[in-house]
This record gives sequence, C-alpha cells and structure tokens, in this order.
Amino acid sequence: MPDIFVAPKKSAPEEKPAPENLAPQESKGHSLSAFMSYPDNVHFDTQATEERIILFLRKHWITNIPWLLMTFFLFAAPSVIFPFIVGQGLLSLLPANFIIVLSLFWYLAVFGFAFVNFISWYFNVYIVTNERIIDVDFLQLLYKQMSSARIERVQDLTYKLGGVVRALFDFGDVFIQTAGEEPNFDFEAVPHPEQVVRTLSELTEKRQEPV
Amino acid sequence: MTPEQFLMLLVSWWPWVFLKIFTVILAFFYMIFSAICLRQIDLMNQMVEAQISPLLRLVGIVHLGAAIFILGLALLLL
Repeated sequence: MPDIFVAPKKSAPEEKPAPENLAPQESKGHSLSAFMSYPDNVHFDTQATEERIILFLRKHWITNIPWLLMTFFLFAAPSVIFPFIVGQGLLSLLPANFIIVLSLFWYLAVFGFAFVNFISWYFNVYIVTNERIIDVDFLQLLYKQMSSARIERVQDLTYKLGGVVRALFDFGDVFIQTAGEEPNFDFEAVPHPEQVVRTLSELTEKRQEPV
Repeated sequence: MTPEQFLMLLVSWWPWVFLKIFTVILAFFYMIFSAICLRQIDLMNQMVEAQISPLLRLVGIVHLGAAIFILGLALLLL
C-alpha cells in the first residue's frame, strides 16, 4: 500500500561552530607573567561558565625595580651601619638580647616590605574576557576595588607609550572609555599595549556586529 | 625603698624601659600587620585564583609565624 505521508528522517542536529573568540587558543605566559593570553590556570570568582579569559595583564615587571632596589639596600643597610656603630662604641650601650631582637625584627620588616609590594603587583590585575573587561585594583594592602564593564559598552580605545624605558621594554597605558555611567578603565603600564588595543578592538567589533 | 629612691631608679632606667615597651608594641603591631596581610591574600586568592595561590598563602602563614615568634622573643628576652 502506498504511503500517503512519509515523515522526513530527522538528521542529527548540526553542531554550532564555536564563536571565534571562544575557539581554543594556545595559552601563553605563566602565573607570574605580566602578559598572559588565553591562560588555562587562572580563574576569577565572578567568572561565568562559558566566559573565557582572553588577556590577563599586570604591570610590566620593570615597574618592580624601584622597590626591589629599596629592598636590596634595606637588607644591606645593617652590614654598612653595624661596623660604624661598633667603631663608635655605641653597641656596648645596648644589651645583646636587644640587638638580637632588633636585627631579627629589621630583616622581618624588610621581608614584609618586599612581600607587600610583591602582592600589590601580583593582585593588581586587568582581565579581558570574551564577555567583559575587569580591573582589579589592590593597592598597599588595605585598598581594594574591582570594576567591570561589558565588551559591547566599550566605545573608545587609546594607548600611550612614551619614554625611553617604556619604548625599550614595550609597555604603556591603555585607556578604555565605556558608554553610559560605567567606569572608564585605565590599564597602567601593561606590556604590549598595541596588542591589547588590537585584541580589544577585535572583540568589540565582533560584539557590536548586527546579527 | 623611699619614693624618692624609686623615682631616681625610674629616671635612671627610663630609656631602657621605654625602649623595651616600644619594641614589644612594634612587634605586636607588626603581628597585626602580617595577620591583615594573610587575610588579604586569602581574599584575593578567592577573587583571582592562579597556580601560585597556595604558595602565596604559605608565605603569608610563615610571615605571620615569624612575626609571632619575634613578639614572643621580645617578651621573653627583653
């Protein structure tokens, strides 16, 4: 008997191609890098399941030189000052116990100074994901601020690279203007600012394309 | 000991007493500072998690431990 109606065979649903900005990319940089692209081993607390970190930035490592030098001088200071104190006979005025405690305290305080500077650099991060940009400010232990804006709200991108050191080590400031009342972003002293701006422009263009 | 003698003793010893108290207070405040440091590391590690996070926490704990040790040393030795 001829079939009056034959239902068309259902084909397997086609897999949607992943958006270009979500396509797997080679991860570059390690945990202490100032410039990481597509990092695998970094996550942040407000990250959505489908949100992928594209750029993870910190200030260029060269910006750490002043406090590193200061730490070195502070560590070396007792070896310079002690012979002078011994020569003047001032050491005999203080008990030995006091000198021990004071020396230990000095080196601990110098370590603390270096440690706080390091964590201030380490946690002061700028994150660009396929959804938004995030600025985490962590300054001198007690001040902390986190601001974010969606990629489609980005209106204007500028970068500034000036000076001998900045030109030599290729780092500079990236300014991001956003629409409406959302905060503007200032990525200070980030490595490869041109590449950051290019990546952000590509992301913005993709997001703002009419569907 | 008469009050006058006591006063004289205090006056002859005051710089050393002052120095001791100052050192202990300094060590105490340093301990508070290192505790704040450890707490902030914990909070920031929750916010931005990376491979190095446990190591940073460990350094923070050692830092706090050293601060407590120095406070103890200051209280015992001085």
